[in-house]
Amino acid sequence: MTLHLDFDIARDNFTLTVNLDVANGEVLALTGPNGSGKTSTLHAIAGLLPCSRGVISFNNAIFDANADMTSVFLQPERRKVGVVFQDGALFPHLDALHNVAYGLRAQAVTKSVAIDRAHKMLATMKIDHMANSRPHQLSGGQKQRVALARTLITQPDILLLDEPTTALDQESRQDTVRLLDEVFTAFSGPVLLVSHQYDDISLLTRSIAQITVERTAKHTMSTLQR
Amino acid sequence: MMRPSRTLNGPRGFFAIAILCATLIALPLVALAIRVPWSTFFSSLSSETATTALSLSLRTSLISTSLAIITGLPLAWLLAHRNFRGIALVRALCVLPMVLPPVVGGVALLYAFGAKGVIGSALNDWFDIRLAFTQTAAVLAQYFVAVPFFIVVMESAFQQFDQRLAQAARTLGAGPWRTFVTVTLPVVRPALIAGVVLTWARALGEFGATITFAGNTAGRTQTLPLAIYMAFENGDDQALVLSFIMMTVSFVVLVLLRQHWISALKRGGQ
Repeated sequence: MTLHLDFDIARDNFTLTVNLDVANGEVLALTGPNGSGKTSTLHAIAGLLPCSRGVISFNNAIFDANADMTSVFLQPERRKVGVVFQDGALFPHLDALHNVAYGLRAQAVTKSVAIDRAHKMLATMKIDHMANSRPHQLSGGQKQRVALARTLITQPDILLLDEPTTALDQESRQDTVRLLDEVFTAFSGPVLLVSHQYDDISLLTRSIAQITVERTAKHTMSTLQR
Repeated sequence: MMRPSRTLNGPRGFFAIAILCATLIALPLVALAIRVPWSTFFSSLSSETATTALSLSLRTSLISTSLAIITGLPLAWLLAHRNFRGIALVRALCVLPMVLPPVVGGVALLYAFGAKGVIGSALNDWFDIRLAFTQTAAVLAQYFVAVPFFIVVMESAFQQFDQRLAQAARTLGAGPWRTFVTVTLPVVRPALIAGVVLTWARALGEFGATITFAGNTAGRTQTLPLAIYMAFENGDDQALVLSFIMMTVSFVVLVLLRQHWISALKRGGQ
């Protein structure tokens, strides 16, 4: 039961090659220089970026396959891949509660049930007192909690986090790291975490995959493996 | 007495020229307002020509604006997000009616949808449909000149829209339509309102393309601007009254837009 990644993403003068297997329950940190393709890797797994060659599969489900004979692309809404975006990417026109309820509503859960469960999820994240606040009224740490709640309530099979602690001050960083540690412990699927904060990584994960970059005059080749 | 300037002095003479410019714009509008025959204002307004033209204008402009919204949203979205071959040409063509003399637009519409037009002749021969000089033609003429305003406003709004919000919605289980309706549109709402109002104002004021392509039949294609022109030709004071009405509408539109811009700015562009 693993997330199997063996693919390329190629753009004009940039190629990213990813070769990784991530087991259920494993928390893997992705590190590497800026612009080397960490976020692109997460986007490819989530279905926000099609890969140009290779396979992304989870358990027996093929997310993305690009070979001579076959071409499969599962739309992001069908992958059950939860993404916590950098600084949350909360919906600015909805309050915290309706941000968290959004995924349930998209899965056709009735409004009253969705709201009820969103309240409970916000309480689990110790942020229910801000349920009626819009994102611009929340601090960086509060935004991360709401974003995490919004993702977890949909019960994803895979969890991806893009720089969850980068934009935070020291205190909310420690809070967020503690919270993430609890979440990761309870989460049964694979977790991939992009971070620059090496001390956070060492607290949260035991395994690290590194992107190495080779540059020529015209081309940048990134390779992501353990 | 001059207040101490908070910026550097401007070039000598700018102040006087600026006054001249503002006067040249304001004077005709003020002159129009001064000459409105207030004693006959309501009788002119309630005359049959006026009410017919008013209701026709409202009806056609609302239909053409609705068409512009329905068809303009997808096009603006594609122009903002897709980078296909020839996109620059598509963009230029879609915006062309903004700078094209409207009468040329009317002639072009005739050659497309008129009885001898490229599509119009087929419609005529096969379905016995004649578009030119009908109310549909008035709607088409308004659509042709007004939809570019909507496309331009919405393309820029979609470009500034944070794509990660749509990506987040998709990973949360929303399909493309749900994402567009529940995330993209609400987030770009200030631009959407501004675009709709601008488009409607342009459609309401349409003259050149309408008179060329739809004609000037009272009760059928004689919209407000055409009625104003006819009344004016006949030396009728009604022209002043109707002009004043349209000027007021434009003014209200502008004030609404300004308030909207300001509130959009205060919320940090959201």
